[in-house]
Amino acid sequence: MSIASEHLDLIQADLDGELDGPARAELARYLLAHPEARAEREALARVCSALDSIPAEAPPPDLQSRIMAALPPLRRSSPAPLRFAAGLAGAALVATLAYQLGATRAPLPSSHLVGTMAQPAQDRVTAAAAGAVRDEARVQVGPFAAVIALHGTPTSPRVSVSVQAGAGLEVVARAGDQEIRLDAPALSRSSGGAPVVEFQSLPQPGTGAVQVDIVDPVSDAVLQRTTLRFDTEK
Amino acid sequence: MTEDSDDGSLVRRCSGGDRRAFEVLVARYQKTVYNAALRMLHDREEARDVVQTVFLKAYENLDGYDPKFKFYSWLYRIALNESIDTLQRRRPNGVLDLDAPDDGPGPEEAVGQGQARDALVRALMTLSTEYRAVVVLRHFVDCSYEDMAQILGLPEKTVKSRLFSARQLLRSAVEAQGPQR
Repeated sequence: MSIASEHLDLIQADLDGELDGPARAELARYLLAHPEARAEREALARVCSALDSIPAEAPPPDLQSRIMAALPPLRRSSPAPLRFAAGLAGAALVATLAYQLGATRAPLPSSHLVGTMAQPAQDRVTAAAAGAVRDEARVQVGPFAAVIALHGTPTSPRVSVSVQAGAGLEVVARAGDQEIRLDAPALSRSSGGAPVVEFQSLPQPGTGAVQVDIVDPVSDAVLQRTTLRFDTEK
Repeated sequence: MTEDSDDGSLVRRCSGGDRRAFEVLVARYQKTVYNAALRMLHDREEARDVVQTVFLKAYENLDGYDPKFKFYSWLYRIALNESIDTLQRRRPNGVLDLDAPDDGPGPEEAVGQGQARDALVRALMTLSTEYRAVVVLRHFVDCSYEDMAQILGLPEKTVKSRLFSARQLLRSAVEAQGPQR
């Protein structure tokens, strides 16, 4: 008998110390009745135990002095406009390109994630490669500004995001089943012109429209929403 | 200022030009950042370089740090990015040479169980960087799911899913070594 994913989640959360009392009690009852789940828990516990048994290493003794010696001269606080920009930078804006109006935001399969910290963006393309622009919109939230453009055809849509300002901000662009993280290091690796990323091989938009949301990742509040359409004449 | 000042107040002092405050932050986090980089890279020299770069970038970009986020989350995020950049520079094709010699035996070999641990560390290096990152954050940085989600910029559900998959991939390496003592 297979173990339901919800119970595997509980098993893992329990081993990670992330379960509260009621959930732990529920898991205990489940484990009591399901020996295969108990075996799975034991196997997972062995992996965790083995990983936790790897001791931390001490950094080189001169590391701290080397770090301090490499720092630039004393700095002062930024002027007010820069502090405003910095405040928003830390807010780690998320640009969500929700494909099709009303599209759900189900978790993305990890195989489709590109440009996350764990897998830096590789789909960055030049604006020229993106093809004719069918519709575009400029979005601006505080110091962050970008041009989001719709390319291709309704049967083969593509979306590009060109960051015009606030390239130091952390941005996640999400479209259909794809996600691209535009963190500051990734953007700084771009050469020449505004950093641009493109989503390709998107599913066909049933409504012929692409909804673009700029979202605060902390509150999940939509800061700005834009819709791009294929029937817009440029 | 004391060694136990909270991160936020230390960062504010740094922004005002107080290098000593930054030194406290370095002392507080250098070991964790070093171990995170070490487990991402499996190379002590590169890990040391990453730590230096992480703190230099943090210092130069303190104005970009938003105090409503945890300072260490920001620091670990930079550390992971730098580690991944280092991996990409080292292995453009993404293939790791696990036979490459390290800098010599470390504590893990010295305290016994070295063979099993070495096998596990090497198995860790066979994981994709996205799987390795969650394992490193959980087991070597001791992050909660919430911290990991914030550091990686992913939903918690995705973090948990990646962690589960990564552990399953490591399972065979552990089981091949028998029960842990």
